[in-house]
Amino acid sequence: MIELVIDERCSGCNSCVEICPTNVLEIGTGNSPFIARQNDCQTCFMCELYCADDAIYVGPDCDRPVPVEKQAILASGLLGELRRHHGWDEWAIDSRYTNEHWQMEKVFLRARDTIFPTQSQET
Amino acid sequence: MDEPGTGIDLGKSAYTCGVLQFLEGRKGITQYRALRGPEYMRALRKLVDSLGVTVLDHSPALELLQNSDGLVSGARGIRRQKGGDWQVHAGAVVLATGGTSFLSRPLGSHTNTGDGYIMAAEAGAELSGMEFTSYYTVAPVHSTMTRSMSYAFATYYDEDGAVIPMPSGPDTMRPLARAMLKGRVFCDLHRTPEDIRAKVPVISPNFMLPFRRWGIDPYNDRFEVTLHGEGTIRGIGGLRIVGGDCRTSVPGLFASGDAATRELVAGAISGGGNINSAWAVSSGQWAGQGAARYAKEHKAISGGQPIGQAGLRPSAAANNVDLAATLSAIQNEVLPYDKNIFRSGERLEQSRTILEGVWTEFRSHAAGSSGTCLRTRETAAMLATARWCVASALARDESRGMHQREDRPEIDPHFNRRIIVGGLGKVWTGRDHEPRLELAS
Ligand SMILES: Cc1cc2nc3c(=O)[nH]c(=O)nc-3n(C[C@H](O)[C@H](O)[C@H](O)COP(=O)(O)OP(=O)(O)OC[C@H]3O[C@@H](n4cnc5c(N)ncnc54)[C@H](O)[C@@H]3O)c2cc1C
Ligand code: SF4
Ligand code: SF4
Repeated sequence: MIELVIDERCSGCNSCVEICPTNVLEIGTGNSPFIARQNDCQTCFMCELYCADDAIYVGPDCDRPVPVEKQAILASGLLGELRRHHGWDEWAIDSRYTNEHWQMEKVFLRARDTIFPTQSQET
Repeated sequence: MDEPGTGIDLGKSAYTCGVLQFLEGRKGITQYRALRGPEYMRALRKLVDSLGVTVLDHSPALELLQNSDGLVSGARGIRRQKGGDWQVHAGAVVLATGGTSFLSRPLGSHTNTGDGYIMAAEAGAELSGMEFTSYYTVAPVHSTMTRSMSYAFATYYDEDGAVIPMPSGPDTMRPLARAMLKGRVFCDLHRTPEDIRAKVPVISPNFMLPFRRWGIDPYNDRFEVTLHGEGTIRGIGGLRIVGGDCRTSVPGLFASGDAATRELVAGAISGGGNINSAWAVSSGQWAGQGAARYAKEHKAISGGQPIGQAGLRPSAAANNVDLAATLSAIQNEVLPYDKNIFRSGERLEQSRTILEGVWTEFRSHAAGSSGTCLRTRETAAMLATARWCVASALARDESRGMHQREDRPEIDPHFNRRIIVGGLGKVWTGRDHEPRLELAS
């Protein structure tokens, strides 16, 4: 579930408010939006992907809020990782993060051929 | 799909608009397959915006409008960020609201509450294939990460650390569910080759994210796993399609993607792993073209009346129906492995009785207020959908595909038919005797 909107990183663009499918965030009176309905969070990480300033942290636990220390998260290197691995925004030109989703099919074939002779092809 | 004058070839337009970047594989070969969700959604949105389409974000539909001749002629809903309502009178309506997994937590499925099913049923439409709703996807416990590629290399362990043997066939879901009915199940991915481990983040950028945040190394550490029910998301039931343009049996009403049945393309098996997304894009084009043609022939009609019932207009005095308790009651009949994966006529009958009771109470009294109106309506949709699933599973008195009845373990040729289901006050089932519908390619 979403745990943090980090004020000092946030530019106030409100893309997260717009993109969140379950309307968790709300435009605040100050600079940054606030987490208005944490319990509605579906742990989809879309707000992180759409936050160009890497100011959002979504915890991996989807069943309950697990509060985190802001300073620890800032130091963790986890902020912005999803956007980077997606090759999103400024990362689009970095060849280390080129979208290789099409390789998925090959991974299944490798698994089928090397481990399970007839593995399913669900993604 | 290049029929001139009837619509847009989405793939080509997206490409020429420069919004969808296809990927280049080795040797510079362009890869047109395997589009990643967020990238594809972003591209489609850019395309829609570039065409000047009006999009109302954060504006869920609550109900359809229907005129006295039975034609669907618009829809109505709320604007949850801007406030207030919206109502559109239209020559035709396409339902593209997705399926429902009864909020069981597959990644990104919390707005999939089956709203299109109940809206269409209120207009008189029926559904098909609702018994094929027993597919589950593995994920780490407490996580939504139902991305299953890496589990092709998984080793599963029981609570004592013994390896759970997996059959060599494709079905790992059923043995996993059996093991989970006995106790907790753990997993590691140590058999994943090093070169694939290195590629996982650029193939599925979110897969490692929960592990990294929990400090788990899935290639070496054992972590507990669960199975999330997929309902009609990776299951395949949905609104019955009666024409190549994805029309439903109700004039003016069309359906696409997970809102529609995918029996036409998947049969009795899961539509996950390509079929579903191919169907969503194709059926969206067919339905869009069909609806546009229909609207052209039937000039936009005003005077349609909102027809929503359960959760919007209670049949008796409105009072506080506990939404969370209602949702648990629904989930408790359609998600437990011993009720939905390993089915039996007797247990299905019990579920039917329980769900009828919940429905009677909900239909009579539930009415949302401003903050709860969407959730109330969504709950009504999931409740109606659960009843159709159970009724269809009872009506298919055999085992076939993902629908496996322990009391009827064989395929019965009498059931080489689709099971049709519908009705709100009283749920009915029937069999499709229409000639097999062949969709145009
Ligand atoms: C984790 C995961 C991975 C998957 N991977 C694959 C895969 O690799 N290959 C594959 O083929 N399939 C896959 N599937 C299935 C595939 O995602 C779906 O079949 C597909 O997204 C269906 O598209 P759709 O547009 O019909 O529905 P959705 O994508 O569910 O979209 C429905 C939309 O309608 C909106 N909506 C709902 N109710 C209302 C309302 N009342 N008013 C207005 N809007 C509403 C929702 O917010 C949502 O935006 C996967 C599913 C999951 C959960
Ligand atoms: S997307 Fe990021 S920068 Fe923009 S408002 Fe949200 S938190 Fe702030
Ligand atoms: S993780 Fe998804 S549901 Fe949760 S706040 Fe972010 S965008 Fe919204």
